[in-house]
Amino acid sequence: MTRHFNLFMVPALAVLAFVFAIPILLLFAVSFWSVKNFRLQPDFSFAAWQRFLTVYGDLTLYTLLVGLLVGLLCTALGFVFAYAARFKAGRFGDLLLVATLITLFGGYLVKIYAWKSILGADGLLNQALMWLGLTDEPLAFLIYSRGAVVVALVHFLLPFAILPIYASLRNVSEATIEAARDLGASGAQVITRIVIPQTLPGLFSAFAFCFLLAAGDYVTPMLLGGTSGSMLGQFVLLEFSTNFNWPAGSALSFGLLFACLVLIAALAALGGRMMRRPAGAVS
Amino acid sequence: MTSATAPLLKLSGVSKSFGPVTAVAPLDLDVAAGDFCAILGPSGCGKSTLLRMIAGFIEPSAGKIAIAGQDVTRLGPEKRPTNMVFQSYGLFPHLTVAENVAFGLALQKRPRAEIAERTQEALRLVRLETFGERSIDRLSGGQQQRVALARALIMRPKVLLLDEPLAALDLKLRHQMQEELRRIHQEIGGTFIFVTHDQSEAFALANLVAVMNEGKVEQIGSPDRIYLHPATLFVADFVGETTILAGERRKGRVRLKAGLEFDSKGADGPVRVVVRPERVEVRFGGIPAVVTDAVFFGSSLKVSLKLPSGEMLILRSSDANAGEHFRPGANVNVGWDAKDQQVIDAP
Amino acid sequence: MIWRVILGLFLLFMLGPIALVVVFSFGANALIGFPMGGFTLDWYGKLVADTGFHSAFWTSLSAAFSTAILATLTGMLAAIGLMKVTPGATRAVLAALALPVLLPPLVVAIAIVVLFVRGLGLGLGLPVVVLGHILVAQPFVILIVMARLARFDQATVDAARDLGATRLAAFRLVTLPQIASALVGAALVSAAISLDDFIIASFTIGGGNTISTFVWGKMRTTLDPSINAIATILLVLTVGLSALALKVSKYKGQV
Repeated sequence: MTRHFNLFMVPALAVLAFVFAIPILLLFAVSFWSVKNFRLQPDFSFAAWQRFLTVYGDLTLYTLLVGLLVGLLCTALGFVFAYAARFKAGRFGDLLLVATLITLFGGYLVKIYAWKSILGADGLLNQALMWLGLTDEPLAFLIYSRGAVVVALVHFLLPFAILPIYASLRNVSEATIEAARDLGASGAQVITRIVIPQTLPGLFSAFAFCFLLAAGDYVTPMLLGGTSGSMLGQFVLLEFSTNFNWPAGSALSFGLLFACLVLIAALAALGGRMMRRPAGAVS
Repeated sequence: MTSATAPLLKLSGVSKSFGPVTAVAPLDLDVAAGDFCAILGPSGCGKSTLLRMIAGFIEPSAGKIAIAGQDVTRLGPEKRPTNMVFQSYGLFPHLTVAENVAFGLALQKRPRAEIAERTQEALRLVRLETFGERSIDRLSGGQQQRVALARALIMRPKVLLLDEPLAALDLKLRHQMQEELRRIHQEIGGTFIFVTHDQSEAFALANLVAVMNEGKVEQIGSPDRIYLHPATLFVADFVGETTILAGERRKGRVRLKAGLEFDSKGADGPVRVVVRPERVEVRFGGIPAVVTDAVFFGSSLKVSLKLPSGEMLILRSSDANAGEHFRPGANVNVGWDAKDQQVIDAP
Repeated sequence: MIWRVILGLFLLFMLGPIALVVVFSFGANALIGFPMGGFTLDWYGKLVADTGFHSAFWTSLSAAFSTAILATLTGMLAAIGLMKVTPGATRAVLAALALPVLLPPLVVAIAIVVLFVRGLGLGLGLPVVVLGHILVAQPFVILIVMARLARFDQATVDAARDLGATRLAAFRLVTLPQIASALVGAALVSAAISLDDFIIASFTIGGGNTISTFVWGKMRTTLDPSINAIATILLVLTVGLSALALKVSKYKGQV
């Protein structure tokens, strides 16, 4: 009865092929094309890739670092929130999850804009600081900085981290926790030895998702990053729209993508090796 | 018992394989009109697959299924004169009890008055006449079972199929529903086929039992025949409590390791003798045995005995006062009538 | 106690900034800051008079509506199909369908532009936006519908067939009514995703605006105080639809 394929999947897969797979393959091909007199020409040239490596190498590294930081922050904060919602909030747990879910599909631009209003020179935070007498003039470094980008990205991506972590926490049975307490584990030991090992897949997918979306974002750094907080995504846009250099834009896109995937694969391998190490005796 | 006239349901050489796995080996089965037939076997023996082939949900890999002389092998479930009571009931949660029961007739676009009347009649048959407007999730397990039954019976199927109909009910309710099923079967005089892994249920309800194991039909017959004269070791072991003793047949005479000898026709070679515990009794001149354990069950006493061969023999006595004879360590002599034993050639 | 404080801080961080925008959209003062001035609906009034906003609003609504219908259709069919195949195949197909959500929307958007403009020589516009939104929304539809189908009793379909229903009739009379709430929820989530999207729309809309690209234009150029009002409208639409979806579908975030 069970098979590998059936006709019901065709429409969804057709959309996937037509609007994603074929375009992505074409985009990849374009990264080897060349531009002559502002005209795109099919070619087999590595010029765009060369441009990516020479001009954008440092920026790619920085972008990965921002993604890494945002991914780790989201995963850590997401775990704390999900853990509290699952084990400490009692009947409010569901309500907390609803609060998370409803902001999942809404307010991408609004959230970024809100941070601009909060962190801006005449924004809420500066007003508050001046009112409290902590500073005489607005702190300019709050906005148009790397910190502003990270804060806004964490704010936007946190719900995406909470959901998979909460889902895997829900599968952690309370009996395993009670058994650990019964055997003498402290609260912290319960979390590190019982809860986190059972939640690792959820934690990893939360991290990977937040990392990928943070590293690929260009709207947040555009609005909040100023010159110091620029990320690679902005330059993909720049090459495409302003420079009309599609090959370069596409090489940048795939360069970033490959770099992200390599990093995730490396982390997954590292995590896998740590998992395989026999759990040490209770110290 | 299968009747001499043409059977209502006839399976000839029906089998089913899923890829390399044989779920049901080729089998023949005749069920006469009015029969209450049980397909009995452990889980995974292919009995549900067999039932679903009769219903039309699974197409047989080979063989022919005929109902009332008509070949239905290639017909889908919606075109067969069979209806089914599903193990999980499969009640429609978005419809009321009455709407569930009326579903099949509504599909046939019968006149409204006829549907209403027959729905009431079907609900009356399962004693739920006042529950028509209820929603399904406000019924108990037993009531849901009755709705599922009414929903199938309203179609007046030539053959009613029941897939583990009572498995989801607790013991007390199960006994009630067994009574109910017998009453309904007698009242409407239909032909019922049900699948079960519970031999007491099969014996309580059916006049014809087919025992299946690993996709093969081991034995088809009346309950008493299957109980007292199991055709195979599997049937002997699966159906009821039993003792199986090893022996050897030479020139028409069987000699048991335990020391008994008697005449038995058949080929030379190793044999097994099957004896039901309640047919075993204390007898002068019987096999000497030592009591190892005796457990009091209220209505009976179950005694475990060790024979000289080292084999264990179970004796069940309905004499509640027999306990003192069967203190552990006591020596007794036991035996049984030849008609109560079944000799089976060992594999 | 300590956990309550922590959870409170989290909620403040997660919901505070959004609430700020909503509150200040009713403030007489032009910008977010104190004092916010008296209560006013002026900024909304301005929008009602703005024909640019009108067309963006209707473009967004038609994109959201089309996405909701079409993504729910493709996603529902895929979910039904995925329930019938081996677990390995289900995982593989789900992973493939979820890929567009995992990659940066910028890359997906650019790839679509390259295919439609360069590869096919077709123009851009609302249909392309909708296709992009279906691509992103359908994995979520599949997730929601599969969560419902996992609790679905297949015996109800068998029973309907056994009682004389054709495959199609069994689907219409038995399957559809039972998964209807999940479908409505999935459609609402799809609409929310479509309304919330800025990146794909900004690349593929060609001429014209959606609400997102309209508000983006204002964010980048002027310090137009009606931004708060548009943002609030966008928020009410997307968050409102998500909340409604959760209520209707009883989806609890299974993944």
